[in-house]
Parts: sequence; structure tokens; C-alpha cells
Amino acid sequence: MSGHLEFTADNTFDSAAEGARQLEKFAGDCSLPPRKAYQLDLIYEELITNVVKYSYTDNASHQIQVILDDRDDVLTFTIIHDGTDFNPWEQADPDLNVPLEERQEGGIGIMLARKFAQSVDYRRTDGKSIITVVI
Amino acid sequence: MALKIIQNDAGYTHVALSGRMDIDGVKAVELEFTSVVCSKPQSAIVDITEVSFIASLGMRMLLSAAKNLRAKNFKVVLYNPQPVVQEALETAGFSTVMPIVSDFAKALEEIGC
Repeated sequence: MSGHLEFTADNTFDSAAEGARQLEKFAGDCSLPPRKAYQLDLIYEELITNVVKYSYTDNASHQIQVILDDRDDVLTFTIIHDGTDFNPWEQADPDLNVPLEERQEGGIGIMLARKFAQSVDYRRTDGKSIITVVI
Repeated sequence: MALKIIQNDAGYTHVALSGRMDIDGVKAVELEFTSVVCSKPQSAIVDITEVSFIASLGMRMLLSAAKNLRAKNFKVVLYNPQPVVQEALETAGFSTVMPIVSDFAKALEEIGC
């Protein structure tokens, strides 16, 4: 099966949640296996949350572009935003070898996205950040 | 996402979560969940049979409750995750900080009941 979906969300959690519903429909339309659909869902949620929370320093509305392409069993997921130049893949993973009391609550999302991806990429071009994940 | 309180007066707290533990889901239940699970000095079994999705925000909610109870020498035990949810929890290293079990007798054993 193959499929392509593009949409824009604005930098609010409500808009991000609306995008998750479009993704769910896409996963159904492309008959993605449950595990792959879950990974896509999770990677979208973690990345879009990160962008909405941390990429904008003003109070203005911004458009975040989301592109999905499923071809020959390779699912490529791209987020393009005009927020700050920040490479999420350079963020250190939380240390999982410490006891509960010392376990960090932050950083789990990006670590999960990275672990569930086959490959990840980040580029900054013409004032825009392009985050790509192959699932 | 919904939270159901099964009981909290048999020496442990027993709650069930259902739905998607995403941004909207966590926002809907976090206050009540934390209040129910952390208010009594006792361990908690959190039934996640009906949780179809968990992202890091949901994990933070569980981790925060487990830390709170841990400080009082009690535990949070996660009961009966779906395979994809279990994989996400294990990938985030949860199995080393809170028990994840699929057998209720084992859950009770974990909290000494």
C-alpha cells in the first residue's frame, strides 16, 4: 500500500490533536500494521508537542507543516516549522540506569521517537527547521 | 481518556485508565489521577488494559505518581498493558522502575497484599 498526506497545524495543542486524528485516518487508509501505526502516532505526538512547546518565543500564530509519505513499506514523516533552530536529535537521552527517585521526567519523548525510528534527520534551510523520521 | 476508581479502601488503591494517554487524555485525568493515587499512604494498582496509546506525557504522569508513592515507601504497579503500550513503556525504561504485570495475583503480590 502507499499513501501521501500533507496538512498544516498551527502552534497550539488543539491543532496538534486535530492533526493526530488525520494521522489515524491515514494509518487506516494505508492499512499500516498496528505496531507501525502506533510508532507513527507516538513520533508525531512527541515531535509536534516539542515544537509547539519550545520552538516559538513570540505569541504569534505559526504554521507547522506535516508531510507523510508511505511507499514500498517505507514511511517517511516530516515536520517543517519556522521556529527556533533546534535539533531535537542532539538532545541527550535521560539516564535509564538510575533508580526511580532520580529518574528524570523530561526527555523521554524525543528518546522514544528516536528509538522507534529507523533513521532521523534535522536540517535548517531558509529559516525553517526540517525534521525527518523514517519509520 | 477516562479514570475509573475501582476501590481505595482495601489496603491499596485500584484504578483503571482507558483511552488515549496523549496530550488531551492526560489533561483530562491528571489532576484526579494524582489526587486519587497519591492522597492515601498505600500502594496503587493501575489497570491499563483499556489504554490504547501512551506518549511521554502519560508516562510522566505515571512516573510522577510512582515517585510520590516511592517517597512514602509505596509502589505503583501497572497492570495488563496491551502489547504496543508495553513496548513503549519498556522502551522508555519503565520496567526497571515500576512493576508491569499481566496477572492480577502478581500485582497484589508486588504490593504485599
